[in-house]
Amino acid sequence: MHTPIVHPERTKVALTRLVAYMLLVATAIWLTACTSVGGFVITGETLDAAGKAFVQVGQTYNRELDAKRITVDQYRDWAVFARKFQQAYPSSVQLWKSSVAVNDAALTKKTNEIITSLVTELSRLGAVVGVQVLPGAR
Amino acid sequence: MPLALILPLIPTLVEMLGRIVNAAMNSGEATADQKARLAEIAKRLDETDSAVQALEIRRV
Repeated sequence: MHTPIVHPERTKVALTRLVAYMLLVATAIWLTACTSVGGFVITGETLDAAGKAFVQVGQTYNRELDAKRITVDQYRDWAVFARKFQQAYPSSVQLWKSSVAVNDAALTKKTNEIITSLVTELSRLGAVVGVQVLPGAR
Repeated sequence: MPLALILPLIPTLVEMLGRIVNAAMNSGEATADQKARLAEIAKRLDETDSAVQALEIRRV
C-alpha cells in the first residue's frame, strides 16, 4: 500500500482553475437566463415598429406609382416582398405571443431573426422611395 | 469520463441550465406593470397586423 504524494502548490493551482471554470460556467448560465421581460418588450416593440414601417413604405409606394415617380418594375419588386411580409407578419406576432406565454427566450430569438430579415429587406425597398426604416422606432 | 467527451456537451448544458434559470427567474417576477405592458404590446400588435393586412398591394 502506498500513500499518495500531495503537492500543495499543484492542489492550489488545480483548485484555482476549478473555481475559475465554475465562475465561467455560472456567468454563461446567467447570461443565457437574462432574456427576461425586458427582452420580450424590446422584441414586441420592434415587431410593432416593423409592421408600422411596412405600412408607411407601402403607402408611399402606392402614391409614387400613382404619381408615376417610380417604374412598374420598381413597384413589382416591392409587391413581391410585400406579399411575403403580409404572410410572415401574423406568424411572427403569434410567435412573439407564444414566447411570452411560455416564457421562452429561444422563441424570442427566432422572432428576432425573422424581424431582422424582414426589416433588412424593408429598409432596402424603403430607400427606393425615400422612406427610412428604423427598427425599434415607434 | 474523459474530458473530450464532456467538453462538447458544455454549451448544451449551459443553454439548458440558462433556460431553467430563466424560467425560474421570470415565473414569479413579472410584475403587474410588466404584464400590463406586454398585454398592451400584444393588443397593439393585433392592430398593426390588421393595418399590415389591409395595405393595398397593386397588381401591376
